[in-house]
Amino acid sequence: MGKNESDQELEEFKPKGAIAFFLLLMVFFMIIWFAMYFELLSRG
Amino acid sequence: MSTDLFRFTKSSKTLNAVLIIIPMVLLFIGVYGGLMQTLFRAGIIQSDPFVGGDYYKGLTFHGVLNAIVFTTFFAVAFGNALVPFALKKNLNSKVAWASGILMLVGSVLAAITILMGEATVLYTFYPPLKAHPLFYIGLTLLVVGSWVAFYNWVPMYLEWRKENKGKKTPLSVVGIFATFIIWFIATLAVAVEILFMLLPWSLGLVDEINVMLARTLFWFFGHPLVYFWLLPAYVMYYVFLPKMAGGKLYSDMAGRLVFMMFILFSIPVGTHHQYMDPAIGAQWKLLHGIFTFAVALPSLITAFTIAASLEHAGKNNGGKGLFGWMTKLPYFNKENWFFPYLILGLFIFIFGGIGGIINASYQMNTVIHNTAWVPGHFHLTVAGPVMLAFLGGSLYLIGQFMNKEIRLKSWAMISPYVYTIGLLIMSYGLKIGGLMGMPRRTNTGASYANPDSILYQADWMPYIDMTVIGGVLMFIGIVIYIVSFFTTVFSKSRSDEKDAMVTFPISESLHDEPATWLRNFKPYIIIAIILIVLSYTPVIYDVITTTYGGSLPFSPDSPVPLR
Repeated sequence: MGKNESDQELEEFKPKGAIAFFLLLMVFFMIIWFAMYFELLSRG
Repeated sequence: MSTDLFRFTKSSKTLNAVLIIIPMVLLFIGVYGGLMQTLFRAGIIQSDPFVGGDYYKGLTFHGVLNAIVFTTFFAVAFGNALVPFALKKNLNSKVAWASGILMLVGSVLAAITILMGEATVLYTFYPPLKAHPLFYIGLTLLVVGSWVAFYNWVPMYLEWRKENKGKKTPLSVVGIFATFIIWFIATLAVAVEILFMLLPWSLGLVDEINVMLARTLFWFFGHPLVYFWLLPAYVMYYVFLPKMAGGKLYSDMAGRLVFMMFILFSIPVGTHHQYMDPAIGAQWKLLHGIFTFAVALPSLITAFTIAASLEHAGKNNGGKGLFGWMTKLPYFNKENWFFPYLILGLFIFIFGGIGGIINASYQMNTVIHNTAWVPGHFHLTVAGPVMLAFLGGSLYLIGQFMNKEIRLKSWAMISPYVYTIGLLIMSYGLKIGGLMGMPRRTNTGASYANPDSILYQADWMPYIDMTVIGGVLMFIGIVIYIVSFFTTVFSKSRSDEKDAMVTFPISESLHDEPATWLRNFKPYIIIAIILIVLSYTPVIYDVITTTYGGSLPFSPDSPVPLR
């Protein structure tokens, strides 16, 4: 791969899908963590 | 793509093949033990039909052979493969063989004492459960052998640095060294526990043992052990996976940062396994809890970096839109049979990761402590991403070192899917059962799952049944793998010159940052030692000053001391 092509690849690729995946992962983690937290509270 | 080749000496290739094949046999014995565990706990069997012995003997050989022996051998074989390959330098064969022989002798000693029923102490070998001295000697030889393997790589690395001033160390070598730096520091504590406490006590030289101190030293080692398991898998995620998927590693610097963060935070965390133990101040437990959250950060960085790398690959393969790339990865390509072992491990780790954060959340730990949730969690980590990566890695390495074409590739490809389905079912059963109060370690088949017992818990039974179904599927997945593995081992070798060379799918980086601040291990090791001293000095002080006397030895089947 030539240098220009490589630079173009760098410039073009933005990991928007990975950012969205990561945000969803954080939401999923929070749901599970808070579910356990409320389980803890419910046990008094 | 950079497809590199390296010629290993015949002696190194033979050694590495031995280091993979023998533990694979021990792994299968351990996996069989795991299947028997699910049957014991469901009350289907009362004694082991083939190996003989009770539930606790099976629990011990399942844990020791799978979680300690197989993983240590693979990590050493993987380092023996990747370090010479990446640095283009041959191993010192004599030292490598000395290391391998120490590990083999140690493992065989430990395995024999367990199978003879002389070391029924579970994989944590906590006192006051006492094992035969040969069990402790065997474990010591295994650990010392792995140290020798590490010492063998250090001069190669220093020589490479001298010859390649200003060049970045290959990422694979950074990962392997981080793994063994953590291992070396962590095993110092367990060496003290074994040599100065367990062994003299087991030999009868002293009558009593300080149980709390032994537990604390064990967990100094026990939690970093998790990263000793995980980091070789991380090396595969960063170095192999992007290329296998058809893309590039999104950021080389992220990988280096992750490995250095593990060196910093892997060890001052062990007391989060002792939240419910007496003799340690709550403030020090909280401190270890905070460090445990810090050690979650490199895994979150990994989640993003590997997702970005896979997105790059998926888009190269024609994926469109925000998540279209996920559908363009080689999930079912038998020529790329290694890919499912890594991608499924990452998928499982989503559930393993959040479980770990819950376990480390101080008060929340009271909800799950000593329940079946805990084995549910660690099967989603060590028996998930770690096991799958090590199985895939073992098959890949055996093909390379024995110069064989992988046989039954469809079997090799489908095995991790069957295993993963089983694992998710089994872990769900254990975790939900745990939340209902189902204990870990206890043989539920003799009590809570026995309709004739006054302790019988009918509402736990659906979850116990799920552990049996999941356990059977996991076992089938492993059998499929073992058939592919040994068919490859016993197949005819390739004979052409090029195929005698060893190669690995090393990924290029999309962002190859200079990262000069991540090029030297020394500052990270120094900071790690400072953090360990700060976090463990008060813990050890508390344990020593608030405990008195000691315990006589016991076995798990009697409340009467052994002497």
